[in-house]
Amino acid sequence: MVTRRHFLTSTAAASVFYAGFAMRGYAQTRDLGKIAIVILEGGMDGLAAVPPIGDKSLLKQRKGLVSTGPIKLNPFFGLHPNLINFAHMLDDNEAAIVHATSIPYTRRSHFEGQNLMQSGTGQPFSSPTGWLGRAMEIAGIPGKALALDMPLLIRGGEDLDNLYPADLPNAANVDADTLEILSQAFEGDIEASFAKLRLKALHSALESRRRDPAGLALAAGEEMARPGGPNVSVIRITEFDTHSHQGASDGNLPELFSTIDQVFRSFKIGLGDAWKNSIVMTLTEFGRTVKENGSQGTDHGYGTAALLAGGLIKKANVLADWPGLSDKELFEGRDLMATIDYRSVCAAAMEAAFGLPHDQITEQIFGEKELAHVHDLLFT
Amino acid sequence: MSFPRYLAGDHHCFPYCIDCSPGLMPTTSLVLVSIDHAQREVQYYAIEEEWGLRFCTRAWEEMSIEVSDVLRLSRKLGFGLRPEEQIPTDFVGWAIGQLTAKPEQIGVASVLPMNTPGQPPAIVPWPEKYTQPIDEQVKRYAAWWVALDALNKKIDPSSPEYEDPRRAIDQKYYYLPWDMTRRAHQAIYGATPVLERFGHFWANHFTVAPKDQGGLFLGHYLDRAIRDNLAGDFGTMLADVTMHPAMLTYLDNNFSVGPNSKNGKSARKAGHFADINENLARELLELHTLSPAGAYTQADVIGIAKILTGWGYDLTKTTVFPGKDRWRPFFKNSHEPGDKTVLGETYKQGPDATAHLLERLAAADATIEHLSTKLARYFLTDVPELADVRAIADVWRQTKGNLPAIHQKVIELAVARPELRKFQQPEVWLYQSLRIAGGHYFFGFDQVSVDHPFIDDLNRNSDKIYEELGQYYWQERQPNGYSDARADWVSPEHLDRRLRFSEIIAKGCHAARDVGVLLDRIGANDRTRALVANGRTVTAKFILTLCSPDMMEA
Repeated sequence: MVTRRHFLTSTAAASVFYAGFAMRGYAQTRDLGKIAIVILEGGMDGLAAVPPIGDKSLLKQRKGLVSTGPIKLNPFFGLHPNLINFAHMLDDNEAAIVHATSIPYTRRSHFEGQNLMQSGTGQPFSSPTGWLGRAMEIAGIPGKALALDMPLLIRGGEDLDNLYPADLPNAANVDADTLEILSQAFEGDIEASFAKLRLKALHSALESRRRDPAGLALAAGEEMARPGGPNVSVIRITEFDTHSHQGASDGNLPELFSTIDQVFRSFKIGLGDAWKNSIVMTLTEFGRTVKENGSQGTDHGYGTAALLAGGLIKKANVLADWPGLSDKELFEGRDLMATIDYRSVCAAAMEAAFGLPHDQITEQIFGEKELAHVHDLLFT
Repeated sequence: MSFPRYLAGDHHCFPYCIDCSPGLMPTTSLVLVSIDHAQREVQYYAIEEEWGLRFCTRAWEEMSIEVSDVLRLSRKLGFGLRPEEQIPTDFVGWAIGQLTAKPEQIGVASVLPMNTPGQPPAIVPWPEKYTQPIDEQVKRYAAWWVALDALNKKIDPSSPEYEDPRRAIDQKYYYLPWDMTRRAHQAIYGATPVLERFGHFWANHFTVAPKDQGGLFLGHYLDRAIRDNLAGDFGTMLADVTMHPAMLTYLDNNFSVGPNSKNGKSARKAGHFADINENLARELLELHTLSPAGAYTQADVIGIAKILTGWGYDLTKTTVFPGKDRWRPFFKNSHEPGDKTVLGETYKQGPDATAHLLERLAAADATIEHLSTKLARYFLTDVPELADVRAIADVWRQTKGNLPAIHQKVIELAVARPELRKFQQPEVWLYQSLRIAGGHYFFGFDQVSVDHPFIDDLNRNSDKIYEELGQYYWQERQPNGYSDARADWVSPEHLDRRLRFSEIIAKGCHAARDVGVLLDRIGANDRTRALVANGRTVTAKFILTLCSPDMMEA
C-alpha cells in the first residue's frame, strides 16, 4: 500500500517544461529498457477489468456490469476472464495492476482528459509535447507510433517514426528520388517525415502488413527488439467509451478486453529476448461511473485500473489504496475515487526503463515535485 | 472596361478608411483583382471617380489580390477551381455570393471504365431516388431487415451463392454509400465550393457517425440539419442538430429515460433499470456550445440530460416520428417530470424546455468565443490572432448568430491576411486534388457498391478511401470530430498516403496529365515549379505537385 496522495489540491503549473534541458550527454551505463504504451481511448472501466470481488458494495452498486467467473487474483481482486494471457503473466511475476488510479483530472471530458494523459501537464491543451516525448528527448532515444498519426504522447522526441501499413494495392511505394526532392522542399516535421519514408524506400524494410492492434503490437515488439530499434512505442485501442450496452461477461467491453489481452501477448512474442528489459502499460483518460446508467452502460468517471506487463516488473501484485465502493466513499457520489496519481506510475516506469532519476522526472517531465515515488513497489 | 462586381450602395471599404462608417459592418468588400498592373490602375481611378472613395486609396492597394492568391484562397476557403472554371475577377463577391445560395446537388452517373482516355462523364442533377425523406428511409431500413431475414433463412450466409443476392439487397435498401458519394461529388464538381466548405466545418463541429441505426440518417442530417441551415442562424442549426435522430442515436439520447417518467417507473416495476444517459448533455455543453471555458458543473450536465429525456425514437413503432415536424421525435412518456435547474436558471417540464435551453446556449458569450476561435483556426491558421477572433465574434453578436454574415467575415479576414497559411486536412486535400486536376471521383452514383470491394478495389468501395486517408467522416469516431491542427496530420504514414493517392489520381481519374496546367491552377510559386521540374516522369511530377508545400497548405 502506498501513502494516499492528496494530489487534487496540488495540480501542476502549466507547461514550460521544454526550455533549458542540458541532457544530451546522458550517460548510457546499461542497455536502455523499452516502454510500450497501450492507449485505451474513451475511458476504460477499471472496475469491469479488475473487479474488487472482495468489496461487498460491488454487486450492490453495479450488478449488471460484473462478469461471471472472474479470474481470482487474491481474496479482494479478480480479473475479467477475457484477460487470460495477462493472468498468466501475473502468474509468471511479469505483470502488475494498479487500481483506483487516474491522472489528476476530474472534469470528465474525453478531450481534455486525453490531452492531459499524454501531455502530463496540469492544463489541457497547454503543451505541444508529451511526457514520453520529453523523456525521449532527455534520454536521447527514438520512438515509434503504431498509428497513422503522431500521438501527442511522444511529440517532443527528436527521432520519431510511425508504422501503419498502407492498404492501397493500386499505388506502389513512391521511389526514393521523388521522396528526396520532397524532403528538400519542406522544413521541420514534414521534411523529417519524407526523409523517414525515403529511408524505408531505400531499404525496402519488410514490415508487417497487419494493422489490427495485435498485429501492430507484434510488429512494434519486433522492431523494438532490433539493435538500434525504438525504445518507445505507442499503440491506440479505441471505443472504450461504453455509454450503452457495455456487456459484462460478453459484449462490447469484454471483446475489447480480449483485444488488450492479445496486444500484451503480441508484445511479448514480438519483443522476444527484449521482453525482459521492457514495460508494456495501459493509459486511459478516466474510469467510468460505478453505477450502471439508463442504457446498460456507464458514463464518464474518475478512478480506473491500469495493466502493466514486461520483464522489468518484479512485483506481481495489485497496487492499490482501496477507497471503497459504498456511496459515501465514491468521488462526487458516483465515481471510483483515484488514490494513486497515475503519473507516479509513469514516472516509476521511466525510472526503471531509462534509469532517469525520480526527481528529474517529476521536475522536468511532469513539473510536479510532489509526485509519489512508487518505483520500488513495482520494479525492484 | 468591366468593373469588378460590387453592390450599389455598399460603398464603404474594408479594411475601413476614416471616411467609411466605422460603426457599421461592411456587408460586402470592394476588391480589385489585378492580372495586369496597368489595368488595375485604370479600374481603380474609374471607381474612385464614380464613388468618390478618395480616402480609400490605401485600402484598395492593400486589397488588390494577385491571381496566385485568388487561386490559393479558392482552396483555403473552398476546394479549388477545376481547369475549365473561370478565375473569378471579384474573388470576395464570388465567395460571398455562395453563402446564401441553395445549390442543386449534382454528381456523375458513371466514371467507368477507368484508365481509358475519352470524354469525361457528364455532371447531372443528383437523382432523387438517392435522397429520401427520413420516414421513407426508416421504412426502407425496416424493409432491409425483413429482406435480409428472409435471405438468411433461404441461403446459408457462409455459402458462395449468398453473396450476389445479399449485395442486391444492400444496394436496394441501404443508402449510406450514396450519401458518402454525394458529399464527395458536391465538393469535386459543385458550383458552390465555398458554401460546401463551410458545410464541412459545421458537419465536423456537430459530428455524428453511423452507430446502431444512425447511419441511416446521416445523409438527411447533413442535408437538412447542416446544409439547409447555412443560410440561417446558428441557433436554428443548433436546435435542428440536437433534436435530429442522427444525433440522438450517436450520443445515446435515444436510451436516456427520466427515472421518474412513466416509462422509467414501469421499467423499474418490471425489474429493469432506467435512468438518464449524460452523453449528449455533456457534449452539448463541452463541444457544441460553451466549451469547458463556460464554467459549468456536473449538476448542469445532469440537469440538461433530464431536460433532454424524451427526445428519441423507436424504430419498432409504425409511427416513427410523430408530430408536425417528422424529424424531431419526442416521447413524453420518457421525459423526466418536474422543473430542472441549469446554469442557475429553471426550466419547466416538457419539450419546450429544450428549445429554451438551446436558445440560451446559442447566445451565450462562451459559445460565441468558442466558435469564433474555432472558425478562425479552421479557415485562417492554427493559432489565429486574437483580433481576428474578435472580429468574427463581433459580427456574431451584432447579427445574433447569422451564419452568412459570420462566414463573410471569415472570408474577408482570409483575404485581408494573405500571409496566413493553413495545412489542409486529408479529405479536403483529396477533393481539392481531384477538382484542380480536372479528375473524377473514384466512382459515380450508379457504381456504388455497399460493402463488397470491386476487383479494382479502390474504384468502388469508398470505405477504403477514407479509411486509408485517416479521415473518415462515415465511421464511428469521437464526437469532437477531426482536428484541424497541422501536428495531427503530419507523420511519415500520413504523408505516405498522400503520395499514394497522388499516384492514383495521376493514373486513374481522367485527370489532366499536363503538369503545367496543374501548377497554374494551384498558383504555384517559382520554388514549387523548380521542385516539380526535378521529377523524372509525368507521374513523379504529378505527385510532386500535389504533395508540394503550395498544394498541401493554403
